[in-house]
Amino acid sequence: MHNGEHELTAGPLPTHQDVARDVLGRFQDLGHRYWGWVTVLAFLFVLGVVGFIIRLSEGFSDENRANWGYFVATLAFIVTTFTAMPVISAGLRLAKANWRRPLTRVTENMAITGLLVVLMLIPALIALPSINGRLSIWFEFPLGAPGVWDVIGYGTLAFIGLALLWGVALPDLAAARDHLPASTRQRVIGWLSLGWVGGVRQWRVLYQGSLLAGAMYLLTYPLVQTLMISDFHHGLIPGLKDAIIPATVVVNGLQGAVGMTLLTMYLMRRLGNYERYFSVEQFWALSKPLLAFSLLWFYFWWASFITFWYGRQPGESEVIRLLVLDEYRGALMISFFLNFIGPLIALVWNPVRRSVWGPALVGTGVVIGALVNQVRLYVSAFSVADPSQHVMHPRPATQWPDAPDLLIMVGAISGCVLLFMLVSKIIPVVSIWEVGEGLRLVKVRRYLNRYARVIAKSH
Amino acid sequence: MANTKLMGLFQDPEQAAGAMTKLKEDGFPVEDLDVYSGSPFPEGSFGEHEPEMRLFMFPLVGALVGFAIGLLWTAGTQISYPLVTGGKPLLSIPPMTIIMYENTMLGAIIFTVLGVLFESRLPRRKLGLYDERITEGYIGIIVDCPEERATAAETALQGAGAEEIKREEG
Repeated sequence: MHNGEHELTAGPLPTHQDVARDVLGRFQDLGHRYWGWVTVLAFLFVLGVVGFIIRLSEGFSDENRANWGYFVATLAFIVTTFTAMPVISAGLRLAKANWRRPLTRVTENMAITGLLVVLMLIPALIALPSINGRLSIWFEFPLGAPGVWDVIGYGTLAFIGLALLWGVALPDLAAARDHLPASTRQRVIGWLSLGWVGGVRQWRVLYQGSLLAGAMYLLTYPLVQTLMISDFHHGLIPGLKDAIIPATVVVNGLQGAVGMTLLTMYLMRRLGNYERYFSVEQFWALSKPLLAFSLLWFYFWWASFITFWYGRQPGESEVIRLLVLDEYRGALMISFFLNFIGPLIALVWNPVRRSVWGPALVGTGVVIGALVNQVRLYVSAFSVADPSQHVMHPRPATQWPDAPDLLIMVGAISGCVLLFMLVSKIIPVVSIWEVGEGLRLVKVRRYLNRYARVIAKSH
Repeated sequence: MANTKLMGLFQDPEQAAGAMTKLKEDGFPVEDLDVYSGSPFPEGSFGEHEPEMRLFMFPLVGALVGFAIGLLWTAGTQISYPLVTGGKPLLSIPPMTIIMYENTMLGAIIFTVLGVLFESRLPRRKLGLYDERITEGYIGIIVDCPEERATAAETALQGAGAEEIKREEG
């Protein structure tokens, strides 16, 4: 829970009781600042709904499909960042990383954004052209493709995320049930805790169940990203035949998840005074996979690009011009810098990695880069007039966002943050039991002329 | 004769582990003892009984059910309504794979949720013998014993340093 080794002393570490009282104290006190943020976010979300209604009033047709490009790009951005965050906790729990403990709940609480994703998916699917006569992963399969299966796929991910969130939070819901003063909120929390008492059997089941649900989230996330990129990008651009693009967007999603986690932790430190929980240790540890994912971002992009570059079939040349060299060159450059060059230059330096501001700054860049990259991928695809062509002609011009697009983007992103803030008042934002368990496994011992932290392996 | 449940509340896990040892030495079957805690302890820390669980079977069965439904749904409809397109094989394997995978994951998670609820005996309408301090880090040692042995259990818990002992008649 505490910072790096420079803070180590022979003094006693906080106990489970200290953590429970601290976290529940913050949890109980909603405060004016919290409601102020909720009000602002709710207002922005309503603006997004207004933008959506304007878009809806223009209807769905092949002629105005391009109008939905930014809506779909925003949906893809949410899937690439917010909804990808539970992957972090699932992966780190499977790897038994001790430093994960204070941040798992933050990432799991973001699973709630899966509900918004499923809602946004429905109009996005309606905006898609028919799969007849164009390339798609559904071939001639008639049974409700792609709509029914996309909704089932995204719905499954959302369901797994919520099951993971609720299941792992049961002990903390019980803690809130036990210690919050009687109120409607306390009764709701008590009902959600399902009568958890913390017996041996319950802990064993929770442990196995969290690993199983986490593994399922890890297995379902690539499916959802594959459906997203195949149905909303790949199948709409004539001449685009990229076998590794599903893997590319999964890696981009992992990078986005780490970036958003770093940004969220930084904001919670600054705005919520959670310095005790989100310390240098968490930022430093997460900066390493962020650097790895940034290198992979380039590797996957390059592997796709080089195939088209040397292929040079007419259809391939048009694809490269649209996505790389001409219309969306600016978007690619921004993303290239924020998702690859910037993280590479910054994170190779250990002093930057081993700080709070360094990884947070790079993470913010990664998140912005992810948004711009989704615009490049999905707005361009929705701009193509006739997806049934063999060679794209004419290439669509660069499409800039109009007022409803901007409202939708701001509103949807605000909606995700709003959902996170609302769920964080039902489920404590720091996992009391996981941090408590971790504290018991840590001892500070004298080692020569300094103190060292010894972490026990519990399994 | 009705059983009695006792709960000894300990702040120090060492004392709780000592209480478990004493109770077992005094002849209380380990299956009748339970440990309540606010966070999990490594298996065997208190010498507790390891409950038999089959949670891993639930996702396995769910995945098989989901896969079977996906297979029947996709292959069944295509075989029932055979529409050969462009001379290609009747069964369109790539989209079938996606649908079967989705159904497999959906079946697995639904059964896992059911498995977690069943195996952890949740939801519980009443907490029963419980203390709110457990979620603050205290350890509760639960003894389920015949009424005539309740005094011996209470003595063992008290001797190990329980801060408080609660009792619930069966």
